[in-house]
Amino acid sequence: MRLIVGVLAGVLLLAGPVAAQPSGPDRAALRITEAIELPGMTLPPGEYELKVLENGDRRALVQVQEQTTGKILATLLSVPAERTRASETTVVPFTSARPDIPQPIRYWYLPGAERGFELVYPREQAVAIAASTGERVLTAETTTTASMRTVRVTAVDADGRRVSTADRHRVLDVPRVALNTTPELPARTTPAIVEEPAGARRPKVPPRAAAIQQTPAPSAPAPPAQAAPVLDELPDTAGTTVAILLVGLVCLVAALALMFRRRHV
Amino acid sequence: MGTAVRSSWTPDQTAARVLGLAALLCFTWVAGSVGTAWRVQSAYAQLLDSGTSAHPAFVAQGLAPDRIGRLDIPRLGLHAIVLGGADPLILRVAVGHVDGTAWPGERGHVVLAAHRDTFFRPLKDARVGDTVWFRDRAGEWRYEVAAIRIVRPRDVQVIDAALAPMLSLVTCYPMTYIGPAPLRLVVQAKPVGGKDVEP
Repeated sequence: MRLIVGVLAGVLLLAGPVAAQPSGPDRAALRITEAIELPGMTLPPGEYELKVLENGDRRALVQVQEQTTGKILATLLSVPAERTRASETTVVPFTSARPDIPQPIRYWYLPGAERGFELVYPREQAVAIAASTGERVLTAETTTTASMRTVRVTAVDADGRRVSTADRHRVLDVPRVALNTTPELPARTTPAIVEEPAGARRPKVPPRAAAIQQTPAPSAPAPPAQAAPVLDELPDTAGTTVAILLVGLVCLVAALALMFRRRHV
Repeated sequence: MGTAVRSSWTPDQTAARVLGLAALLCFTWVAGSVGTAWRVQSAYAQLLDSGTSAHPAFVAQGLAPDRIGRLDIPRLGLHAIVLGGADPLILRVAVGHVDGTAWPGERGHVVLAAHRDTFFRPLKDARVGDTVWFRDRAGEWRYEVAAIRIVRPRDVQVIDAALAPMLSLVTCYPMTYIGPAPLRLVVQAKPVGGKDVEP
């Protein structure tokens, strides 16, 4: 009997994580009604899933796949970012992106999480986004999958100049939902993305109604996005000059002492 | 003949000579290091004033950073050239600007680092209210020391970019420690004027 209970407990322990995996906290569904711009690609309207492949202190890999077919579309390089208030919003575009072109996405957060990811764009695309938005854009010399773990991440401005990766830009931390038919909202505040956590039941309401449910009051203050610290540790500033000078002095004193002792002996 | 001389050395004599040689090597290394730092500081100070290009000798040593500035804290007598980058080569000869942080005049948090036993040694006497000047070819910026913190090396939140624009000067702490010190002294100054600085 004990053997059977033990085996059953073991099976349950093993089965638990496997059963929970499809709706785990490292992925979120994304349904868009207008095309958006991601590093190296324009994502057409459809249903997708974004998944955290690797999540390090200084960089993370995010995978984009079609939700229906499971086809992997891209693996994106990103760096950790943080927002001041957790919300169900997962995708945050550049704040001043033009409304007549696919919106370039700046941040991706897991639903309800404060920590998220700022996407790193190929240089040419980063300069173009910086030119159209006036914001600095993270970039890397190469964003191929093979080099993502080692490549250095920098930032560029509209002129292609390297600028600081840190900034104090405020982002509009609101869901962007297609509402082109809503006359009350100006074009810049008519978002194009519908988001929901993976595994969540989609509301059985028309898209417009869903959009209204997710759109916050236009006058609500937007919390600032915080760029992640650029360092794992404060710089190591331990100099060796004094230590070597002390070693030299000790050696000199010892040498003189030996010579002094010899003379007296 | 040489063998005969060596064989006449007592163990004490041999030890004294070896120790003397070691001392000589140490002093030579320190003198070379200080001399190189002095030459780099002089050369880049002239470069900053005249706008000429970096000295070929420094370029060959990898000391041709894309960014050059000058840090002054008059009350502490701290005057040093700041070079882009905070790798050991830069920190040996100048104050280093930490990659990925803002440069004075840019939005964000400026972080400068230097050794506690050379350029940033005067920071041990820093006080809130001290005036800090930073100058580069684009202009001059004035800061005022607003906080002095002693933190652990992993407390990177003190240089978080989301904080108000600040200049942070980072060095090891305690100042009298020999070897890699366990803490960091962070002197934080807020901008109070100058070109393109948001007070």
